[in-house]
Amino acid sequence: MQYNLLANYTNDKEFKALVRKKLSNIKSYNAFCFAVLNILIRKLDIKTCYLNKKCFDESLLSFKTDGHSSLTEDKTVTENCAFLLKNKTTNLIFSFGHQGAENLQNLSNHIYSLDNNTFKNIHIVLFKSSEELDKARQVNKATVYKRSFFTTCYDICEKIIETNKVDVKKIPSKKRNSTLLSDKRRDLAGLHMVEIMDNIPVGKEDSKLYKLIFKTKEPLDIMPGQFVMISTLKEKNRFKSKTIQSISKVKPDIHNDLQTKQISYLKRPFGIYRTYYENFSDDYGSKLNIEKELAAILYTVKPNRFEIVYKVLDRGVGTNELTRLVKGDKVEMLAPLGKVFDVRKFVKEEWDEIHIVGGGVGIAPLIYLVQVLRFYNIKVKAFIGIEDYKSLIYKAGRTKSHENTRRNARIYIDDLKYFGLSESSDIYVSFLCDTDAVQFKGIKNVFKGSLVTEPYSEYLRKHNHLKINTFTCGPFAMMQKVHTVTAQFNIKTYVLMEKRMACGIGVCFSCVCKTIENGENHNSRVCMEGPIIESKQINWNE
Amino acid sequence: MNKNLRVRIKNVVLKTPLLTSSGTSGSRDEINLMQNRNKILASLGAFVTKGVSINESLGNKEPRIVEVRSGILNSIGLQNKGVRKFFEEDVPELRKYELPVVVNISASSVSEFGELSERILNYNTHSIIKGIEINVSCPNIKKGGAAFGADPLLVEQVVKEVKSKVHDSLCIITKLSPNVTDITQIGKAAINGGTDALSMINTLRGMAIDVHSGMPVLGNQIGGLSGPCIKPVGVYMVFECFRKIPECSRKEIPIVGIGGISNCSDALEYILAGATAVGIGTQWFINNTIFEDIHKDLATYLRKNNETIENLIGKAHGHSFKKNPC
Repeated sequence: MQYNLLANYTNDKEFKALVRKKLSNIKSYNAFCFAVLNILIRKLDIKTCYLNKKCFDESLLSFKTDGHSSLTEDKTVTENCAFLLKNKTTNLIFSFGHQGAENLQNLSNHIYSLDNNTFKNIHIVLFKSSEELDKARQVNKATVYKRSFFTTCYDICEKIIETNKVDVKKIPSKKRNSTLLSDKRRDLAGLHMVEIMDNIPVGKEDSKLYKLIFKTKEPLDIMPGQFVMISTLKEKNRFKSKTIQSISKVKPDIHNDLQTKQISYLKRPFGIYRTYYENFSDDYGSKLNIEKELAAILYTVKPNRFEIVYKVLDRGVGTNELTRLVKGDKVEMLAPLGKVFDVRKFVKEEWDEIHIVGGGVGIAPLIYLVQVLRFYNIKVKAFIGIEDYKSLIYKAGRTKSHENTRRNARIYIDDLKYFGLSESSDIYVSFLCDTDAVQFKGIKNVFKGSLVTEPYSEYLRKHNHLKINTFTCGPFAMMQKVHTVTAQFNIKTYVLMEKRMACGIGVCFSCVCKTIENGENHNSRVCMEGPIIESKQINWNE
Repeated sequence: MNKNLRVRIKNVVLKTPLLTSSGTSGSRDEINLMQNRNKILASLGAFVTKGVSINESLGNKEPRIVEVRSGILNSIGLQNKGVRKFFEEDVPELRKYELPVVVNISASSVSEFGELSERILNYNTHSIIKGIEINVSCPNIKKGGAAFGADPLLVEQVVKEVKSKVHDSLCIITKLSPNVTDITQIGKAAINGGTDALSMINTLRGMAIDVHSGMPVLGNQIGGLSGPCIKPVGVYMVFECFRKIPECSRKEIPIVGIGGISNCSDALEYILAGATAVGIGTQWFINNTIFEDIHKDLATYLRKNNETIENLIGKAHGHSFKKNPC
């Protein structure tokens, strides 16, 4: 990597001096990494507690430690790590990817066990290149790196440049990519065989809301706003190729079904509700507290367990088939699809609050957005509209099978709590029906018999001095209203659009949404130009 | 390259007989966003684009698609950005495929077809475009909206007009509509007009009604049916044309068989009926490994039976033979 070229992009004198120095050996490279990291975090309350002399050359030996951590007494840590920082009460243990797998494994395991899921001790591995980083993010590496976070020296440098930019024109156009919606760091769409882990009904007796939990063999980087297309019928795969041999294996009743009943032919698109990372506890979001500037350069392992939430339509062929899937079933999934919403770029702006406004099953994909935003320590307020309180509760009888759905557990709300949103101040719930629930178990801001947009516009009126960005998903009329309300207050709003789809990869032109670009009308494909679309681009009147 | 799979349409050599079908594989780099892009491109003989017209078209009202038993009905309405933008924005991306590209064209009058072909010829400075596929199923505005495809005289005129503009520099394929009484009449007319090849079939006209609202499901009310359910129709029409049109029987005018192909034996059916190459469309939405699957199975079949595609074309018209299954 040509670090000295980076000097052209920034005015930061200290950084310029650093990147122009020649790096003669691995120790001076290590020292360089440490020094650029210090530039990035110099404004934060982060102290250096320990430097491993084995890792650095003389240029750093004079560097004084200015903090204290109990971990400096811990031999496993001091012998294996490169340096140790402390941010308030959180220990940040850094090591280098080139230190050797055994070292890193010992250190990761040690930190993982001593931390005991409090997320007060965080192990960060610095890699030389993004290729090495991508390798480490594979889930089979989870045993080596346990619950470590990863970054590269280049990511750190890029972040510094971002904060102290010179004339943008000097930067080659490849790097200048100004749009938030891009294909950057995107896993290419591919067919995956997913294994169903659970299929949990939610809500009242007649409710048809389900949460589907599944895992993939290979981990998959699905970003907020992206979606997956799932084949809703497991038997279907038997008819894919070489039909003659496999037809005899099909049970007679299924065969009859194929002749007379309508079965699904296309895959169905769904937004991701939640993702799970190997070795991360379910409630990591409420504990993890890394400063924004630092979080913006960190990566975790890729997720391999996913959840979607779906609503069964009365005459919906695909969604009805989905309800029949049980633990152990395997279905095909095409993922990831859709534009990537670049959260790392998005969070660098100083937002006071990010709002999500969701209605009904449209809340689901917003929850995943919150999960990711909270990783970067962004303040989020959730405004959600539900029919009534009962439709939030997981159906009885599922308490043993899944920890998250124990008695009286609630969909959406409990996950928001897991990500560190406070029930009393960050979550606003509007119940469409005049729900007769006596108490709402801790939710303070309850609006009965109201649409979600009413309390939301009220909130904006009271807080119009804040710098806010809004994301919305739900029924078309609701999103239209949200657009009108936020437009009044000049708040940038993104819509997570949903449409009937056939291919998911931009070739069939079925899923178009009316948009306006430079005053011209367009039909944009939701699967390619979306699903996240800025609300002012949408032609709401047609 | 596997020689057994190689076929030829006029002067264009296809390394495999597998083509994309117009309107189902996009018109630019969509395939490049797939993990298995290299396998897909290695399995294709040529790339057929989505329909292009002279001016931008926004397409039809939503909903544009509805799933039916064993297939889909669509009424996209030829949404595209117009020929100029197609060459500016999409063709540079298509170069990356390193495949012969066939542009599917549609227009609303005979002269417009001519103008469109002329423009394609002029824009095609890098010679990426190797052929034109004429979509004669689009409505003829001048004649009150009836499709060209049902009138042999009009089809002949359209093909003649296109041929008079591109001469021999581009291969001309005429895509026939199945919504006619006798497809061979239309095929003969296209050949009289000077087409180099025929492709069939386009979608079958159809519709679906929502019994709860009592209204048609599609925004455009009627649409085109595609998917496995139309395969027998397609195979029949290829068979008929091969049998009744002498130029086809003599293999002077090759046929591209399209309609509901979902696996290797489907593709073989078309070839045995008389198709030189096959187009795969709707199944690509369902199975994103369809091209490599069929490519692999087809190669295995040919090896096992010591056959070539060329040799299998139209075999269903001759004596029966016994082969190891696909």
